[in-house]
Amino acid sequence: MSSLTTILWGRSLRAALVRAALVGALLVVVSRTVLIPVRAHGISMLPTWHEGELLVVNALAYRFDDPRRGDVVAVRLAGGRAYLIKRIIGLPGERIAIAGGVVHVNGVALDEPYVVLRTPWEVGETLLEPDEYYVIGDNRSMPPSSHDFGRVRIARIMGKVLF
Amino acid sequence: MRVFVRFAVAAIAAALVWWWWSGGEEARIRARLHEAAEAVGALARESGLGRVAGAAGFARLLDRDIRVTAPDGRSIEGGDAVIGFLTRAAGVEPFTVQLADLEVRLEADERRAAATATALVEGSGRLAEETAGQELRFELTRVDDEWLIAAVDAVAAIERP
Repeated sequence: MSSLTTILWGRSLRAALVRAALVGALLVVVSRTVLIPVRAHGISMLPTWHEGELLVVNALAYRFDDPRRGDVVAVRLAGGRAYLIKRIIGLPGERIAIAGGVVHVNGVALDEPYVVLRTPWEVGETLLEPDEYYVIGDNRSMPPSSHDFGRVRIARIMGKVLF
Repeated sequence: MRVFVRFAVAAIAAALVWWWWSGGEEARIRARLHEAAEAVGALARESGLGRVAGAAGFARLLDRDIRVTAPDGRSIEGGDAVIGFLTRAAGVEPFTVQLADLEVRLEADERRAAATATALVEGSGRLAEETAGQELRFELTRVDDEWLIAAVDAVAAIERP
């Protein structure tokens, strides 16, 4: 029994409590600055993410690397505690258009295996500025007027959704 | 030593008074904006006379010349027009509105203020499903010691093509 107590608590209860407090503090810091948990709300990312699912965003993903096409990212709203979860389909300098529900990048159709629900959206061409990305949800079954999509500045992209 | 302690206590008291005084108006503005968000949700839940009473209660939070700009760029001007729009739109589906991350900036003259927040819409209907969150910018004006909402602008985190 005493050896079990030693394994659980170490030799000193006070030291164990200090360690637990440190681990707890570390978890809080990590969950607020590095791996940020967010809960999915809304239907724009169906079927990839569903209402109520818990996602984890890597806030350091773009410190040393640029966002890539296909990345699912968190777009920051005021205050930085609420985010829009979207997928990057266009990179800086590219021309993006949607014809018949199919995304075209610089005039070439983009293969999007993650889009299962698709209606024939028609969206005119957009030329992205050097600090802009084109983001959109995976659920294209809803009318474009009900869907937040389009250009977003890099400063608004908080991180990459890991899972 | 005794002089030092007295000085420290006086400095702390002065800091507390300053903190209370400077935070007072900001706290009132926060309360006013949360009250407005609650009133919008109440309008959506009420029907008949309850909705009329809710609209009247909401109207007292607004400046007469309020301007509201929607995410698609359309705008409504005037308190009567805003109340009319909300009353017509209410009742389509019940929802609640919460303001998260509310940040207030008070102008030096303490007659005007600006605020930003993210509106979170909760409910089981289509509006709540399609509105994950909307960043808003508020302008407020102080009239007869009451903070009134003078402008509400939807801020586009993602710019539609």
